[in-house]
Amino acid sequence: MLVCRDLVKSYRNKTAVSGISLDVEPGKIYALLGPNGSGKTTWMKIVAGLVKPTSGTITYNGEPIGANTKRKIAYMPTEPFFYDYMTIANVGKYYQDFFDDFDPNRFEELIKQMDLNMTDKAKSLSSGLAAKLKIAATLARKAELYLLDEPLNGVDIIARDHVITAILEAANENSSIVLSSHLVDELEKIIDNAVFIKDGSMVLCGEAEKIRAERGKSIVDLYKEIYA
Amino acid sequence: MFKLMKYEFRKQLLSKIVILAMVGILELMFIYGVIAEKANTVASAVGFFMVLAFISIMFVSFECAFTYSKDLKTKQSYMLFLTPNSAYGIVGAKVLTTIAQVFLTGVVFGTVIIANILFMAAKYHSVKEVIEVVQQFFKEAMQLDIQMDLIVSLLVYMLVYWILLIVIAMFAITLTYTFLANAKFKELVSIALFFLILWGVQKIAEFILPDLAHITSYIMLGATGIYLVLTALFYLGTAWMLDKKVSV
Repeated sequence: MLVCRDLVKSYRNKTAVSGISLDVEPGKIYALLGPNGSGKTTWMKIVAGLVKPTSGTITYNGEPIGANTKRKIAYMPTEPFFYDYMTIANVGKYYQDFFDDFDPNRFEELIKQMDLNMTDKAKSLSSGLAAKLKIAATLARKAELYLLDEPLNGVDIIARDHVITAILEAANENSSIVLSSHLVDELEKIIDNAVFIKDGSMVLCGEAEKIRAERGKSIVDLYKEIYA
Repeated sequence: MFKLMKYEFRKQLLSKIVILAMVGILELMFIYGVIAEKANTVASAVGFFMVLAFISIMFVSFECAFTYSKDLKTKQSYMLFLTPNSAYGIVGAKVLTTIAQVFLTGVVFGTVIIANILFMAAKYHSVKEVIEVVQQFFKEAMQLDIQMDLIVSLLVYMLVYWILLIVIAMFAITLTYTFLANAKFKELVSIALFFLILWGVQKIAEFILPDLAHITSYIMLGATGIYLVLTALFYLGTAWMLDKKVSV
């Protein structure tokens, strides 16, 4: 499915991603773990086609990242990004115009679940509500690969359950989900694989169950051990 | 492509509303002047209208470049670059939207001018008289022996040159966000690059056509050809950089 080899992204003063090689397989939920600045977002942006790698290769179903892979990969950035004039309904229409896999009924359902109103302006939403809108727009696509960057950021404890439920509903045997989050304990319950990134490099990767069995520790404890 | 153009137009809608509102105010001023027979008010309205028309067309032309720059430097860039569109389609949609908007702006101002002439004609009960006055004005003010082929070549030449300016502006911005991504004061660098490239383009055109300054249909046809080729090259260069080098 997604194959990246020796992926590097360097800026003038730093290397954000340093030689990451990772395969993302269908039907699995991956947690991309690491503190701020570890390279998670840059890696996701490379997969989404927003950032061009300095070196290395990356393909999705055998084709390089580009306009065609964007039809199958749904990326949710961590920052708000909708146009200033847009209402929530406009956001849905925009996604419907550009993504063939967007389901407007599912979008409406998710908007209701998240306690949002179609007439509200995206720009004037609080950070928590804006995060819910991003999640609803992204998960209303029937994508093959979802990349959700910090989907629980700014979302209150009660709404987190809604978000996690929506993520699990999007997961199926044909689609994969890659989640990045600092809230490791929230993710531990739902992930199949864990990828630990430190200073742009992958330090540990594998099936969550296997890692727990081999190391005799939960993912949360391993996170503390690696990044402490 | 049409969907991209639709959203480009929507992003730039506010400026069109402002322009229309200002046209509306000046039109009211003009109508009041004609009805009340206040020559100063009419003259002021016409004067402001001409200035507004010039500024509007210039602004609408380069709004595309401002929007493009914003697309590259803010997080709203994701809205554009996450969609499954090629860089060639994105740049093409921006250029075509700008052409369409300038054309529409021209149509609005042209329609208002014609409407005002008809209004004056209605007021003074003689369309023929007004048309004669307008004809006389062009004859006396311009004192030109007008040739149709020269006018057509001049209009095509101006249109192509103007599209070239827009594409060069986009090229300069893209260059700043790729190979000069680490530069400070990116906007100033883009503007400096724009004028530098424009100077280079002029030199190329003068090198190929040494008689560029002498306006004849043939010279303008040649210059139009050169500018078309350069427009295509700058468009391809902009889209290539966007596709291969730009990270947002």
